[in-house]
Amino acid sequence: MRVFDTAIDPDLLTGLRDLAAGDRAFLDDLYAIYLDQADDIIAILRHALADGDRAHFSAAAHRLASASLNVGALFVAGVCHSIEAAMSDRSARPSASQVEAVEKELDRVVSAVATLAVA
Amino acid sequence: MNNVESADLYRCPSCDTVNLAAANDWCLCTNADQTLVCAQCSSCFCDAGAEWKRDFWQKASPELHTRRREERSGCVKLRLVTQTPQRPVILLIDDDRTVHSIVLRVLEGFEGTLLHAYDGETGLRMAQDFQPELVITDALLPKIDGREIARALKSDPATANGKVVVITAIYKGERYRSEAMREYFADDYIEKPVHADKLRIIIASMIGESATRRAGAGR
Repeated sequence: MRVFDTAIDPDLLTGLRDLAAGDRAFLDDLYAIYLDQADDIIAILRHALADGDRAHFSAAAHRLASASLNVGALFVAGVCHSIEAAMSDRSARPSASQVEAVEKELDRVVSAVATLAVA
Repeated sequence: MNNVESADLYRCPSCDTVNLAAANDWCLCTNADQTLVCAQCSSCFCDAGAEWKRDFWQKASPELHTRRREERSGCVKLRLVTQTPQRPVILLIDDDRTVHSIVLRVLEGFEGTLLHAYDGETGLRMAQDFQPELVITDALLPKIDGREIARALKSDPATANGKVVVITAIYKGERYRSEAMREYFADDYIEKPVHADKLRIIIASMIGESATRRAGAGR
């Protein structure tokens, strides 16, 4: 089992750097796109939370999990997958703590991306 | 520099003219995230730095964000109404723009046309219109499921010869791969995260090595 505690999976980041082939703008743009999407999805999560809308909450979590996998934000993906799993129970209701858990992991990604910018 | 002065007024990074975003068209660039065209110099801001673009979109109004989501899928199609796409054509359908960015990079140097769609309905329509040699589609999509797109294309004689690859983040394992290939007639099935090397191999196997020989050259 691979163990790491960085916000971005180092192996996946290596793969993305290989793909970038020295073009810093590619990585900058990729993470900017990811974080921009994440902002939109957080807004959808909050909207679904306010409406108590389990289906939209789960779908938004899935979207963010999917995007997170592609940029190596595996902890964000993990939190989102756990939300999807929890929302598969018909009696479950979205909670503020779930959104906060996603935001907390996203904050770590933002910090990691800022570090990438000077690496 | 602060590039957004007030509600969607921004300075063009090329000519410094102040533009009203609501009045500008989307550019026709073939990247995953088209931007607005300056009314003065006709330059888009696709090549502006990531920080500039992030600042722009962070400060843009909800109306402009909505317009961006609703209109962007059709940008490439609008251009191609009057142009014949160079073959082979690959259509990528995914609501995750990071996938578009990665696939675009993987296909750098590709001697064909990459079309982008961000929901299933638009993607299916584009596939029917342009009959791509290869459709790469996410499994779970807004409006129409990617696996249903695969089934629809394979059951239509006009599009049945095109290859379809389904990508997914949740349906993992041999069981789902077999199901996608058997029940939805997908030609291949790949799991997220999308790895560039794996994607290159699959694309080459689907549309031929020659079409992708320049893609990824030197990497």
